[in-house]
Amino acid sequence: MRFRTQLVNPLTFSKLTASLASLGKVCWMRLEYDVIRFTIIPDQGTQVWAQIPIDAIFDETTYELESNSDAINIEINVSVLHRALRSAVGSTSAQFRLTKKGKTPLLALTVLSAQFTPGNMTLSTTDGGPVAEDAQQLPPTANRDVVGDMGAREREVWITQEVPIKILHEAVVDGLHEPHCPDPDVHIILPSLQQLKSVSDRFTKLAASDSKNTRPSVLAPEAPGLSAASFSENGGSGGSGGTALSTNSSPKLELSANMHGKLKLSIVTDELRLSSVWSGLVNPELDPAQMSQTAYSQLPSERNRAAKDDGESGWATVRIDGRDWGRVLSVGRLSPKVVACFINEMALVLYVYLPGRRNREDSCLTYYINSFAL
Amino acid sequence: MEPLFAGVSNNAHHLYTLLSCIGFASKATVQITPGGLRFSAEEARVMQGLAFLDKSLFTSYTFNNPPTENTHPDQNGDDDDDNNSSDNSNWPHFVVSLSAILETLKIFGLNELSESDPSGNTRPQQNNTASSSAFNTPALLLDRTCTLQYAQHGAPLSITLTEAGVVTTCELNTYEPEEDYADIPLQREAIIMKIIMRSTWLHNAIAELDSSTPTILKLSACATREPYFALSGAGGPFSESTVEFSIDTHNEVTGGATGQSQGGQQQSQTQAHHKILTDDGSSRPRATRAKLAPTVTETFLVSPPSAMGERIQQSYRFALVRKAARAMAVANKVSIRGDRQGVLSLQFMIELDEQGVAVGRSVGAGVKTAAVGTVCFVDFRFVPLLDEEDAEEDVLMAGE
Repeated sequence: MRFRTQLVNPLTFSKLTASLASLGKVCWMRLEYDVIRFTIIPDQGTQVWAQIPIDAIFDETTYELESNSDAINIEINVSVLHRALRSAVGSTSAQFRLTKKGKTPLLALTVLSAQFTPGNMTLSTTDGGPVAEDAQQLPPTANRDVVGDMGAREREVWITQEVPIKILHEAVVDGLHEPHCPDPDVHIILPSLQQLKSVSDRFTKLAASDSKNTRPSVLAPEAPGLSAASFSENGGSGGSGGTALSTNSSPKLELSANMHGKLKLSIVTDELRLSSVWSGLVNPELDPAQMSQTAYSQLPSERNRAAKDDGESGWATVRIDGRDWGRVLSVGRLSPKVVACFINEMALVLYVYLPGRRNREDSCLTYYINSFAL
Repeated sequence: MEPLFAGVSNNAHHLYTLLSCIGFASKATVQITPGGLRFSAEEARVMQGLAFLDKSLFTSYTFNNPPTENTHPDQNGDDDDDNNSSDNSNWPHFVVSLSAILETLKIFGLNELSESDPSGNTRPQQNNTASSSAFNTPALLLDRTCTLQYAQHGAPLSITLTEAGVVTTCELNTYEPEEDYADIPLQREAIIMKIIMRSTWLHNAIAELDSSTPTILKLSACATREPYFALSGAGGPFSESTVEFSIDTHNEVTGGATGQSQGGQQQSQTQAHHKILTDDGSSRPRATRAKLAPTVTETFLVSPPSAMGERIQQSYRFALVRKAARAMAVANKVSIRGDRQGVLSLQFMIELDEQGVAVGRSVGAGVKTAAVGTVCFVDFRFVPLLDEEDAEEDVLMAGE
């Protein structure tokens, strides 16, 4: 088993891990020849399945992967990975490799950094300068070596961050499948996530301040396959039991959309009814080549597209946890294009396409968000 | 059916600036009048804040009061800033959630301007001097409109914010006001004190006293003897502290000039502390000013009835006065009035420029006069603390 590559886009990778880390700590990272997959399935809340072509963050020419099963599955704490990556941002070069210290497998990030101010002249083998910053934030399990370049004038420093990982056997991850959802009722391109997030957060705040409005809420009937699982503990059985019921009083936002370019975000509390409506959004066309003409016109979304734009019919609605939604929208820092697929009263699926399309495949993050029942 | 009231403003930030001044309470009573909207918030019946949204703030203001013939559908810019035109209780009034209104108005980047913490604990140093830059949000979002509508008695108050591509609607449930709801009465015919000065001075003084966390604010004013006008904080864990607005006997001109800057104030005050006012001070070249008035005041009228002696002394709950800090921060001038019963009125004059920024504090004083926009008023009233102990102290102090 072998993995080694140069990191070419540490900033994107760092933003990506930051967004992932807001949803959950434990991440299944699957290294393949062409793509890297990241999967986070928290006990409750949104799960995310991301697929990044290797050339979006790594250097293809130095990418080395050897494995009996053509893929390496590892379990990694994504927030530790994110903190390790912060030292790579702005570096001269950065390299990832799979290694071992004793019996502990590690993902080692070696960074050659050349951006030290004169104030850090004395930096040698111990903490100091920007490295010390990281050292305090890293948990003790993440080892770190700093080797100062003794030629002080060059001020180049090698930093090695070692992130402990768990190697997952192929059998463990076999039971994990991306959720399968019914055909969406509405699909629409979301407006700027930053704008959506600032409005959503304000809604959440308003709803939360109305503390009298604490109805217990339960999850809607499970979308097929949309259930929680953890990777190592229950051996990848797929977690057939339901997602933990969310009885907390976190405010629920109602998000709905139609096939006429409208998206509506609303809350109802004892004191007020508040809604924001975006109009003039795009409902992307599906690729008709993928299916027959009859099947295409029978899609719920196409039927909704044909529906009259009378403001009443053709809306698909989901109810989502305001705080969880805010965390999902933090992916806006990557300024992606986001297609939201609404499955009425059941689930919301977000396809997040990162900008800067490379040659072959798109980078795509898929978020699966369950709808809450009233 | 035509709504009872509809108002369209193209600058939600004006409304936000004014309403945030009385944002200390979560609920407000709204009264719709032909001249504008009157928002009042109160706490424990001893403090009241009134914000008047004059109809000149709206590009269109329609009020169809069915029972009487008070319809004023026109918008001819009839600027009467009379806050007291609302005494007619026939006009519709109701209670809404003020915090929800403020939160709604903040949607879409308005919050970048008013990052100061909502507790009203704005230090005077935190002036938003950068707020009138050409690149910030209010300048870029001028196409936004804000519509307020109240269809009929019992209907929700709806606020609609429209911005390129996004329409936000907030329907606030309206509640019946309490039966015995009444304004704190200020006896206009029995005003015994009227002091007008720049709001900055008051804000700095309150912020200064606040640092010793007092519970009681003592106000002391006298037309004939020092201290002419002093505010002191008492009852906190620390000793009593006093801010005294005294007469700068030395350089009257520079005293006025330092008044424009933040740092100069405390300095000029402390300087003034050590000056002794001599009776021949009137021979100095400030003959145009009223004699024996603190340097910072524009108007200083103190005329207590003979029964009260020469000095007016009243105590107020400091925590309540402090709730007006947000108004002190954005206002340009303040009129401090007291009536015979000790009710304190702080009336703040807030100048709003075209961009929605309160000009009073954010732009240098020299520039300000050129950029005067709409002038609005926010009123606070406080019921005095009546305490025998205080009264005894007052006697003692008066006897000194």
